[in-house]
Amino acid sequence: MQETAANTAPVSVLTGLFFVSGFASLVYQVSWQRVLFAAFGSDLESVTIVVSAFMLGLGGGALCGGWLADRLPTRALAMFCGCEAGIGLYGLISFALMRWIGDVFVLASLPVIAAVNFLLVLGPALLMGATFPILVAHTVRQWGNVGMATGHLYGANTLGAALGALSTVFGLFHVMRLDQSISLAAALNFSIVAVGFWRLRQAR
Amino acid sequence: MKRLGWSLAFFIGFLSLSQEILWVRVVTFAHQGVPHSFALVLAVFLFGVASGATAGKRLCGRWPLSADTAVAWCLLAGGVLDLLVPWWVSRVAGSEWLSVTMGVLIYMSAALKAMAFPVAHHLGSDAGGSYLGRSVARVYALNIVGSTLGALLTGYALLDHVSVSSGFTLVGTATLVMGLVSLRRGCPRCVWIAPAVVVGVIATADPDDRTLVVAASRHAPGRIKTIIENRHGIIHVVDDGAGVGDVVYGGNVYDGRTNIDLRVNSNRVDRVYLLAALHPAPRKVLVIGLSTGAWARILSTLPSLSQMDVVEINPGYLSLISFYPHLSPLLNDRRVQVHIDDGRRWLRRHPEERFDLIVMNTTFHWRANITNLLSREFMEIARSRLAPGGIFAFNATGSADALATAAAVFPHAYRWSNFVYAAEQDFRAVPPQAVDRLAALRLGAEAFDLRRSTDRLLLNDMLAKPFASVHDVEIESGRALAVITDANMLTEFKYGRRLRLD
Repeated sequence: MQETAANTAPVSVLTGLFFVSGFASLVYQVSWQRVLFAAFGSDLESVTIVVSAFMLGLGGGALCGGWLADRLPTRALAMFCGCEAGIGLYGLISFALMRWIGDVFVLASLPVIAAVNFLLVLGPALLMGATFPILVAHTVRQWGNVGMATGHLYGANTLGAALGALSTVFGLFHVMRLDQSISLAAALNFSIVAVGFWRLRQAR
Repeated sequence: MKRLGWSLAFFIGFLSLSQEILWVRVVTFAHQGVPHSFALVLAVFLFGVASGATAGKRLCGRWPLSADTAVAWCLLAGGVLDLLVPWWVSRVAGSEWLSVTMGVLIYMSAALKAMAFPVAHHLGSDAGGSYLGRSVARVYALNIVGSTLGALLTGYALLDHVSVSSGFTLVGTATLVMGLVSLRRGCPRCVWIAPAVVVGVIATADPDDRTLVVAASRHAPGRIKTIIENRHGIIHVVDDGAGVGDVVYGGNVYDGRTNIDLRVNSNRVDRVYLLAALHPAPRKVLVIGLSTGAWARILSTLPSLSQMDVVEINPGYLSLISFYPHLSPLLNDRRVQVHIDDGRRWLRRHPEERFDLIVMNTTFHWRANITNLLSREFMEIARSRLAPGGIFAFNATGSADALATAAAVFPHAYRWSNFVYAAEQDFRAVPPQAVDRLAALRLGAEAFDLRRSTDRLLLNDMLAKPFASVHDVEIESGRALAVITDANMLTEFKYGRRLRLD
């Protein structure tokens, strides 16, 4: 029964949730960059490490998500919610963790600092990257068209991301601190989880 | 077909992120490094990607109506658009249309490339099989690998060797090639377009690779003498014809002049000369931010100096200084060590060092990431690196909150001109022998001669100027001052400069 419900989770709901997920992701990206620059330096090398880690995390996460989507094809919504919960939990501790790690490794060699930077954003980026193939595979099973499913979900997620980037620098940073902005993004992740599980319960 | 999908995914990622890096460079430069510029480019770029992905979805819905051919045409259009960027931006330079034009170009170029994203997944995935998830993930991962490489190669390697204008030419050409490859598969009879594209590339290629920098630059009236572009940023030098030192701009923002003569004082070098009066005999000096080198050059004339560390994030300034005979001795001074590094990181990584003077002729308080040098957290580090009797001096560039922050960290912090001087001790009572300390500076031709009344008057006038306390400045500013922290980034956002779209 649960399998059927998860398998028919409406694309419109997933689209909305994925939009919010994209919004939260960019709040994280812009905020984490700031925290990491303060902790490890804001030169080009730091920028490169942070951006590369984020992107490679997304790529690695996508491969894991694709594998999961094939293994558990009827659990798309649950897996998506699991990823969002993981991102949210990391978000809650991320500000303190990044600053603490920055203090601990301040005297380490630059390759070690690069590796630490890399690991700090790799985990959440993996979870973010995993959500895309999970949701696309789910939608393709309903629509039967990979291109349409990809374009639809990617469009929604990217639109949310664009608004997230704008809101962070034109809104959030003017009225709240970095740690508060990150907590707000975590709250969005948990809202996604709540709505997702509510849908699952309703479908049962 | 799968291979075409995979290639498309990889190259679209590569070209899109390369293009984004180039646009971040241009827009950040045009907007003088306000912290909103990066997110603005990112947002417009993502809006373009979202629109392109949605349009790509429609193309896939009409499958098999040759979506790959449609994508090929979009890539060709995107390539032409990228090639035209320097020309287009130079046409609207100095007008209120500059920002809007750049926004439209970013949006269009991102959208035209992103249309290929769903099509690449459509071509490269296995829709009906049990490998659906993995096949989608493979295409997506290829796109991300391409994006990562695009960001790395363009931001780290390409921009260290070519100008941002040439970068657009390269990305545009590569996009055209990708479009032609796709077109050859989707519409072989359309390949006649190849010669037209080659002619187009040659016709639109920008012969002057400084076009974008010149078009987006804001500076005092005068002639741009030098442009230094590298992966760390853009420096340009203007000769305004005033004969009081060339004006140097870093990231399109006033960085200073090349003057070191207090009598000229076109760049307010009195703020660094004052340090020679405030400290009896500085031996170890740290300068964060080399810029024109004028300030470090003046400090290097301190007769008591035994070691000066200079931390500069952009090595381009070293090339610049070598052009000026009165500044270049700094580069050969054995007491001076220049470190190419982030100033805050360097200071954190040298906890054993103690300095008699820490000097930062910092950039404007509203620029991106300046919080890292103005926050309470940074000032606490700076305080811990001062030797007994040491002084920390930095340019508050008009930010009253920067003074309030220094006053929250140091027992004594005062403003003199737009500089903040802070220390454990009260240093404001300048002793009579301070004039002799200034006269002892090894300035060569610019040295002070106390037998000349003009020099005596100049120095006494400078030393007579009063310091302002945080209380004075708070009354002057008309609001309660706040302490800048890493987390509140006050001077960049809440009290920062607004993004001006003109």
